[in-house]
Amino acid sequence: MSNSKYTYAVGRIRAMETRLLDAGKIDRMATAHDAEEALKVLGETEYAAHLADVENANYFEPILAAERRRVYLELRKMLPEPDLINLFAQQFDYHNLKVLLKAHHLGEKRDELLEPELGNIPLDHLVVAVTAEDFSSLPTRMREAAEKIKAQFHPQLVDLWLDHALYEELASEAQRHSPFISNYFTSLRDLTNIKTFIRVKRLNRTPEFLASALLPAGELDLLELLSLEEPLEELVAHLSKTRYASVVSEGVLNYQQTETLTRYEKLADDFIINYVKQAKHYIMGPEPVVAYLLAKENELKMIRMIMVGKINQLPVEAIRERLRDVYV
Amino acid sequence: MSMYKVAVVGDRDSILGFKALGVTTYPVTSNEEAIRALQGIARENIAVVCITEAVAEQIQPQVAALQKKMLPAVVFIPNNKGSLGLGMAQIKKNAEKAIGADILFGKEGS
Repeated sequence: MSNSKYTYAVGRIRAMETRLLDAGKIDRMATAHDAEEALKVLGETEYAAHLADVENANYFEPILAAERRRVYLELRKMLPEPDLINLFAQQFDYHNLKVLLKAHHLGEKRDELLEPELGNIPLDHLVVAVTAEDFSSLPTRMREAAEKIKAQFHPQLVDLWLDHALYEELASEAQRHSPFISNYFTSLRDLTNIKTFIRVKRLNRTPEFLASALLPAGELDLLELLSLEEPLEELVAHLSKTRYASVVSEGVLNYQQTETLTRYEKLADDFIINYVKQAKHYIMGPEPVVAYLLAKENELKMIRMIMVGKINQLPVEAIRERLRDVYV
Repeated sequence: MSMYKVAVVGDRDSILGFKALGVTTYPVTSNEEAIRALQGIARENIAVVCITEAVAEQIQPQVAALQKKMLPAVVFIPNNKGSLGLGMAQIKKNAEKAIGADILFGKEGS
């Protein structure tokens, strides 16, 4: 596949990257006196346009939603073909389907949870499929998962099966784009599976349950570890030769001391963003576009953490220890 | 007959978890919103309402008015920043009202 068709997009991306929040801005938000003041820092950034719609810092979520929408639309406009963004936008189709299936089962309407603009499948289309319980028009993996759910509804299975379908889809499609992207999804899946392993262990669930909860086709074989005497120690030892060694050893140690996965989650996100940083060396190709999108998601996540921390008046240190590395 | 429901009022991050239990949540950020939520609750078929102590303290007259009604039962809960002791004080008061003595904390009369 020719990479030269991304030349224009990569040029644009390099300019857009300069407007991502740097560590200084993030820190100013984190040390702000209160939520209002933290929000004011965003007024000096490309978020400024969205701030006008928000009167109360407690309701900051629409700002993040608007920014994410803006980025997706912008990227869609600048790319020669929709494939690449469609790949990442699929998660919104799956999200919408989860919401619709659960709402349908409960006989409720939860439209406020839907993401109407970002997905590839028009929302009306999904609504019709769910209302009629006829999924024949959906993409294959999604359809198969939806039909399984129809036969055996359980809120947890809705999430598990649709996540499985999504990750299978992502793994198979990413290969067509670039090894960089497909490696990203592999890491994401492996790191998620490690977290799932720790949580399943904590819940004392069976290996069968773990097997159903792990995302498919990861590189790691975690299943047999669960029934061992000291699963967490075994986990660290088992992964000590992989690229996740330091994330897992520090993350698990911290989990054993604190009983929370906060540290592990931060380390896992940092691992991903540091992997993604390699895209800075690509002069053309889809990699810088993907890296920008992921850097933006990372940024949105950090802003959300800071705002929730500020609203709940957490000490600055408690916020700082949760913040991720920045891309820029 | 329709079923009675449970409601919870407080700041969003303290009460959102109740949603998973099927409880109706009323996230509020100001006194006006809290008062409006209580007015809504009084009209609905709600038997128990949990209010975070922090919110209840801000709108005491409205909470007291709600407590005078037969339904809903008003329960104070701590928020994510910890307890202000209102909940315990309320339990003590109710115990005294029901049996005339504070059997929970060991002090008679008062």
